[in-house]
Amino acid sequence: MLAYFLDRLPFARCLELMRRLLVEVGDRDDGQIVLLLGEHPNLITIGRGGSPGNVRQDNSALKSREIEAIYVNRGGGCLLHCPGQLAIYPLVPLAWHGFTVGEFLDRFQAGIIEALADLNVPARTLPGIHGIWGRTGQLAAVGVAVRSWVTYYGAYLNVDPPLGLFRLVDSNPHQPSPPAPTTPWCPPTKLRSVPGEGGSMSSLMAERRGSIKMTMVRAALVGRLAEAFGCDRYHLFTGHPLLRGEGKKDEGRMPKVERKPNDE
Amino acid sequence: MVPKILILPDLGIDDQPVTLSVWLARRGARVKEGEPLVEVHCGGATVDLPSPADGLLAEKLAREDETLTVGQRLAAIEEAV
Repeated sequence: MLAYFLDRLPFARCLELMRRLLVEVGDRDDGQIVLLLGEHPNLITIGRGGSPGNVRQDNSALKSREIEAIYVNRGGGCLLHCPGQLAIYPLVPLAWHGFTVGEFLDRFQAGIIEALADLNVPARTLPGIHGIWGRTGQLAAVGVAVRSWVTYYGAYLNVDPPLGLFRLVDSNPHQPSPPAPTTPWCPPTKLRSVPGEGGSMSSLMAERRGSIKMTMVRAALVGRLAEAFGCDRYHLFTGHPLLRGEGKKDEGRMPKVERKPNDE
Repeated sequence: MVPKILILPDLGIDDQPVTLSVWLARRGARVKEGEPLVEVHCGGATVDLPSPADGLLAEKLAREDETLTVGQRLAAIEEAV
């Protein structure tokens, strides 16, 4: 697995990158997985499960906050993006790995939950809806797309965003209840029931009642997602070669970590 | 010539309905095998379903926003003359 830390990147630029990588990943015959991790400036995206009615402010109010609302072709509903929220975009060739879309989603969510457990944040999924919840509310929204049987888009994990911004949207207008642990792929000890849930967005900072570094979260996610997708080895890079001129620091290929050999 | 039929495969998501979100090609369009024909939506995922063959999109067998079942026939592709 190749993991790229992109820092802060406009959503449109990131989507363009994913679409280029979709072709590359789909054309390979070795099952290579690409993982993009980054943050987006303020933006509202409306997925196929959402509608403009899920935006709680009118256009002029959004404009005064310099927040744009756009339609996107991913699953999931209406989501707010902002700095402090980590976008997690795995590009996985499903057929090569023998995953159905559902199995990919189960592994993806389980990998995130394992990473959160490493950070002392117990979390879980709910039945009948994709996403990840903690004691204080929803921690991550999930919205993926699949083209040519390669996944793109992914999940948005609230690390330490300004939570007040999330009142601008209704991300889960049809959230079912009651909740119950549902991720059988996780060890039961990591799925212990946690009190409290609901449609409100929360963050890792709220869960831990203290600061948490984005670098810690990224590191935990890369390792756990590599495991979840069955990769024995991963490489970390800062920036991406196709984004030269976009990042604030280096944009070259800078391998940082290498684990076991013989992985895709 | 027997048309090739695009069928909704099992996406492996059992607890959420699959709906047809949007057609990506118009009826009568010339399509290539593997080219996205239709997008379906299931909870946190959308999936572009590819054409099973080269030819013409002769018939759309499901409507946008329709709830689908695994194995349902979605489109007929006829060989282009």
